[in-house]
Amino acid sequence: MLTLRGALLVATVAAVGVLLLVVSGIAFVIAPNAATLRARASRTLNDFGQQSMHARSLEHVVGEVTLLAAAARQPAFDRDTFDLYRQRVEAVLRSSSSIQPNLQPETFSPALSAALEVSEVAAADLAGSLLGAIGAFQVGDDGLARRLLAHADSLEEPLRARMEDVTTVALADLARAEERLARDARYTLLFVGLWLLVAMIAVPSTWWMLQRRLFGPLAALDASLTRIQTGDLDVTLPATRADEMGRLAMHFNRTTAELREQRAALGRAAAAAAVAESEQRYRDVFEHAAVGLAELALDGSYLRINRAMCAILGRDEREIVGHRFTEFTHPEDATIDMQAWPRLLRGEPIVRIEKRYRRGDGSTASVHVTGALLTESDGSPRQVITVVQDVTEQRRLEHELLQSMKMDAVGQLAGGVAHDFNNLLAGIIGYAELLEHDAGQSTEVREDAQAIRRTATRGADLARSLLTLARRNPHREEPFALQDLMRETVDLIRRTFDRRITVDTSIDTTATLLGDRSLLANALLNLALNARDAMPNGGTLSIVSAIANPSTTFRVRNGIPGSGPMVCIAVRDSGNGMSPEVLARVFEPFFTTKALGKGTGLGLAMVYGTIKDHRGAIVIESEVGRGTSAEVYLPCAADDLAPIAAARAMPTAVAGARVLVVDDEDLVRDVAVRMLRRLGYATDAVEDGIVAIDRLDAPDHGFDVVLLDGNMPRLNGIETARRIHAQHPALPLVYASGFFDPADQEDLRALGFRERLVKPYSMEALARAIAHALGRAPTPT
Amino acid sequence: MRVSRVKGPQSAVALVVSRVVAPVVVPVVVPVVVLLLSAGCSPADRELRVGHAVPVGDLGRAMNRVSEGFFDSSAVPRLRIAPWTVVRTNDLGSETGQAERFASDPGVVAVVGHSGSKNTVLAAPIYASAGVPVLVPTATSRLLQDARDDLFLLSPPDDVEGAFLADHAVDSMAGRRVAMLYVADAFGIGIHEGVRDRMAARGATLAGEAAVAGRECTQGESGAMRGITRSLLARSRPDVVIVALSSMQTACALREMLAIDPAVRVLAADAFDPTEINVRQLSDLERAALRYVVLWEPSDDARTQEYVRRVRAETGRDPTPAHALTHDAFMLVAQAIAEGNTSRAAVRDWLHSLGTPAHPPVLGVTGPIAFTGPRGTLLRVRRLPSSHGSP
Repeated sequence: MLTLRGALLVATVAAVGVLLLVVSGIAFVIAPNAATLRARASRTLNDFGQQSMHARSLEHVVGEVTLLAAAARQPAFDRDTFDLYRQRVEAVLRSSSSIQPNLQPETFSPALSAALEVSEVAAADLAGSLLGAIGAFQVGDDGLARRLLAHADSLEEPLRARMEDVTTVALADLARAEERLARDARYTLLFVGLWLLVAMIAVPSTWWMLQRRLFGPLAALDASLTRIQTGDLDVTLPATRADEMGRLAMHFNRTTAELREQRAALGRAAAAAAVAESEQRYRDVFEHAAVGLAELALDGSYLRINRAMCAILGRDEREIVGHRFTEFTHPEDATIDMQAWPRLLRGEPIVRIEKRYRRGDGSTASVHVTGALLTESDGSPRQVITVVQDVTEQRRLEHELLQSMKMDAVGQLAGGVAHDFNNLLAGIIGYAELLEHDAGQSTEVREDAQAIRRTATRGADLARSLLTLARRNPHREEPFALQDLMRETVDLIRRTFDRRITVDTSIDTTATLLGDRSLLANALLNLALNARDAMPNGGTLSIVSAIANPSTTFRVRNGIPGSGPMVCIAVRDSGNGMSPEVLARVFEPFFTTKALGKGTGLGLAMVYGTIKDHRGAIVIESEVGRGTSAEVYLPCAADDLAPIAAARAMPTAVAGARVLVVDDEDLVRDVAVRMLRRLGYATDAVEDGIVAIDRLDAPDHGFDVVLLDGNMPRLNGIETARRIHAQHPALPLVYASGFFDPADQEDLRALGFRERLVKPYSMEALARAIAHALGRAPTPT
Repeated sequence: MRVSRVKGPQSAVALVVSRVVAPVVVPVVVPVVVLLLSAGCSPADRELRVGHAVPVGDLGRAMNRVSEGFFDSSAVPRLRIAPWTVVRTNDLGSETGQAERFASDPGVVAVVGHSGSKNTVLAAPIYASAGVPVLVPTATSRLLQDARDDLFLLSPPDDVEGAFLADHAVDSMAGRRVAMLYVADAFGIGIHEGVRDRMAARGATLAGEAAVAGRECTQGESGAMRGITRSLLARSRPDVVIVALSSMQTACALREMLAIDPAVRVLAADAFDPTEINVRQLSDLERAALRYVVLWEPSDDARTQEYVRRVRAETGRDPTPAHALTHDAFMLVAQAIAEGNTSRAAVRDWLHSLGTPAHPPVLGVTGPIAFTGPRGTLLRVRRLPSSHGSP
């Protein structure tokens, strides 16, 4: 790509070259023209020379013929002599006709053309007369001959004159043409010389001027633009001229000045934007932090807090900012503040404390507070910034864990007691049931036996309640109508409570629950009893049930699995209420506010355990002097749950089946044998697992099912079952125990257990379990 | 006389313009402009012209109208005869001036003319440089045959006519002693050479010959012709004299020869045109003694008869051989254009193709036309009718 300079250079060279070309062309045109002109002129002269020569020839012939004519008078003259002259004249004529005239009109003047024609006519006239004279002489017509000869002679002078005219005119034409050509050449040379002179002056001048006025400023502009491209706007061009380049420089300077201003403005704007962005980021971090953040003045008043802090204190920002932090501290933790704040102000690097705040709703929030003092550039204190982490839930969970550990210990104790107690009850219930179903006994005896069985059954319920403390009770899972449960409980309450207590009920649901009805009834009754105890002078007790749909937060907070519909059973009283301190410990085992001997402290613990076993939750709210509200949340049974099964009749024995009873308790073993035989099974019993294994190792042991106790010396039920199942994988087993760990259920199935029985078990339960283990549908009697 | 003037001293500006601009710019710019202008027009839209390089009067213009009447008026492009435009001033430059005008006219695709061999030879280089084909109706000089490749002669050259004259004089006129009287110009010399060469080819020679200047019978004075003819007859004692003279010179020579020898018979070349002289002034003896060559006579074919009819209708007279040959020249150009040859080079190539396997000869009023050889078959010998009208 040519630069401007290069383009101008090329243009200049081209112009000069064209000029030289034109000049050369002219020179090469003029010169050849001159040469051609000279050649043609020379030819013309030559032609005319020949013409004049022909004319002179004719004149000579005339002269000679005239002399000859004088001699022709002589009689002896040979007139054929004239024939030679005739031939000469004819030759001249033929020669004249072969001359090719120069036909360039530019070289002919009209005078020359006219002179040519006139001379040709004169020559023709002379030649004609001469030929006529010669011919006449040849035939002897001398008179005609002399006359023609005289005429020809008279034509000589005019012919010479015509020829001279032609020559003169031709020479004049040639001279003019030469002069014209010389002048053309002079003018051309002058023109070329002037052009060269002008070029010699103009080209350098123009180049100098262009360099100074155009190329130089353009180079400066180019350099300036290059600097601008690198970001340097501090460039100016000299704008001293009033021409186009000067104006261009002026515009350039103006533009760069504006660019500098704009860049400065952009820089400021960018800086301000960066600051604003930084502040916004800080605000976003401050506001959206997961922990509470607070800026406090040196007097402890809140200058700025974030949302998490508002959530911790349970108040709006307006209620917090401007107030001192001590206003929100739990009164019992005031001393913590008094000790920590001075440390902060003294500049202790990081101060960490744990304290409690009073929330807006009156509840307490346990927090970890980490504070630091911010100082000015001169080191003087400016403000305090604190990080507040809500540990309320953490503390609650710790409390629950502690309670769980207590419950676990209680459970261990209860489990051991319940196991032995269940065995005793198993015997009592079993014998009573045998008596009750012995048709040979009297009605009174059978009624007595029935009473014994019921009482023993209650004792068994009590033992199960104990086990629920530790969540070790394998409660029954059977559907039942909530309405029925509540009606029974309310009926019992109305019959047994102080009549000064008004009982209001509302059952707003026909929900079905799945669980242990008796345990839930005990739990409900316990709540009612506590409510009664809180109203020694009477009051109002309301028991309300309704469908509830707790939030996810509630479910998570209270450990409710699943998301299905629930029922809420609310037990409210208008009694004394509980203080927050008491409320915090209501589910703690053995915690009671009752006088010694008036309460064991296990009631609400068992209620808590029962509700938890049923995948529910219990929330108790209470205020001193205003009563207590206990809300029990229980999951509804699934819709596809089978309808509550009607009572079934005692199933009979599977015909021909033989049962092996394995139990270390003689009482339990004997009762089981007698029940089975009463049911119609062939039965045998051993006292421990090892004996049972030996018995089963016999090839024809003949047993169809084995009833195994879980807790036995030497070899417990699990080990016994493992060995039996290894040898007799097809032999069904039934597990009977009063202490049932749900985790064992997985092991029991893998060990071959087909059914389980909870001690103490009824004969009906025993018959169902054995029949199910044998895999046969029991036939009701 | 030529029109150009002697120019006085020129100004520098004019000199520059004339010496610098004109030689350089005009030859470049003008053709470019002309090319652009002509490029804007498709060949199909142009009117093409055939130049008539012969100054004509009313009769000539009437003849041209007749010829244009035979052009196809619906043809595209249309053909028109471009007439002589240079003001004739008896100047040799008028022939070349007219030739330059025709050559510089891009619409002129061919030229018919000039009158006379000398004028044709003068103009030939100009046409040659412009690539213009020239159809020469009547000029017969042998110089034309040697001149250019783009000259197309419709008449036989002089030497062919000379041979014809020789054969006729010997064979038809039973001439035992044949003499020749000719004007010492290109025409006469050409005829003479033709006769002489033919005689030599036949194993004979001319009994005598005499050249004249061509002005021996002027202004009623015929003394010179008398002397020349008496000498010729005395020397050669011919029974047939072939003459190659103008019409008036022929009549003059005829009279003088018959005054010497009433038995002599005269055979005139095609330069003799009985319409150019007062034939009534010829005696029966002179009429009987004279035979003359014509380049054309109307045939009986419909084309020729239609042409003759239109000429008679337009002019009241019959067409001469020159008219017929000129008409055929125009019609050749018309047919060339009708066959799609719309450029000078194409017309020239088409004319050259006549008579070749590429294209048969074109049938004109003067007979089949081709340029592969001389048209000798045109020549006829005629005699003047007696004063009573009988041949």
